[in-house]
Amino acid sequence: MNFKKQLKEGLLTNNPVLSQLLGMCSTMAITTTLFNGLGMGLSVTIILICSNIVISALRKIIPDKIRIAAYIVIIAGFVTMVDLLLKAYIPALSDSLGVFIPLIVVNCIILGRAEAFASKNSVLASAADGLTQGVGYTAALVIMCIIREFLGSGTFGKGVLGVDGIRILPEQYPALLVVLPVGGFLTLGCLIALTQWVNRRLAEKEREKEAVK
Amino acid sequence: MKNFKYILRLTLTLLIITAVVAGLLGLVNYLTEDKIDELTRQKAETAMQEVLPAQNYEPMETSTDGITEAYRADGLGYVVRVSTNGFGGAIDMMVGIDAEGKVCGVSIISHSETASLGANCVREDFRAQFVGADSALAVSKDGGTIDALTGATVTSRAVTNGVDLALAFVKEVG
Repeated sequence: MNFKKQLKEGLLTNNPVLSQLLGMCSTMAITTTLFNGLGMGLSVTIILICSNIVISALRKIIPDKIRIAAYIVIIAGFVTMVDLLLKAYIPALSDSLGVFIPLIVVNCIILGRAEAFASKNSVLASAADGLTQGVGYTAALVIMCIIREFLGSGTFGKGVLGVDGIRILPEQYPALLVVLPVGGFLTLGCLIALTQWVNRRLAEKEREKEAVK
Repeated sequence: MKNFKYILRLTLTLLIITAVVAGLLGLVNYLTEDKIDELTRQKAETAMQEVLPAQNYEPMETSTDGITEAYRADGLGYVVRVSTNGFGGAIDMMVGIDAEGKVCGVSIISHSETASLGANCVREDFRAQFVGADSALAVSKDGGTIDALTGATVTSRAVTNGVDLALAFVKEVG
């Protein structure tokens, strides 16, 4: 099993947010505090692993013509379960993410991975794909959160390390703009550019290695 | 005939998947239902205690738009639960009004306002502005006394309108 390769794909070369540009809506909306980013990332990871496993296990049973309908039912089921469990056991997170938890149903990362990977690969590989893609999504969210929280609110770890987090910039300096959707687009754009640059460097190195051989 | 079989297979597969998912959802709902109800109740109770501490809250009938619940708090006054529309959705708040018809506390139960902007409506210094008010309120941009959270004042107006609704309601019944 080339789990290492999958992890690299999830984090960099095929990162769901930064390379595939999937799930932009939630990425833009909730990455304002670290607490939100971590919570959303973990929720999506769990749902992605579960739905990938089930869809992969059923891939030979589900007829091609109704696959999308079947996937959506399975995904919606898991999302609703996570939503209910969060409401019951982590109400603070459920309050903070609000409507974005139910909206994971239409998050294209989950359906995208079901269609592109789980429906064609073994259960184990699909579970690994769910995990690595989920980790990639979480990593992208967390980086966005840290940047936007620092520049926009001047704090670090709001909600994770105490209610107000650690204040880094004095209250009058942070640029509110960064917390608004505009700031989301700007941060995301810069991060995508950075990922593309890293990916190109990696590809170049690979080519050099092959040339030496 | 072959075609019929195929259609039957499609239908049955989807039916079985849907039934299994529905069954599992029912189970999770059954397991979490009580806990969620309990938490919701607790949250409302904490908010009521915060805006107007009392031993007993006696439910009252309400038919006004936006007012979801109202209670007579012993002889101390009223607690009114109001829901108004903010920027990101409904803002659910508890407003305490004392026997003289003055606001004695506002508590935001839930909201989905923008982080660092409208979400600051839960802050003590914003909510404290309402305490002591007894007549129609407005944000300073509209010539009132409430300092808004942001220039757009959507959240601030929503909270102000909510408190106004509660005041009007109490005036009517009291």
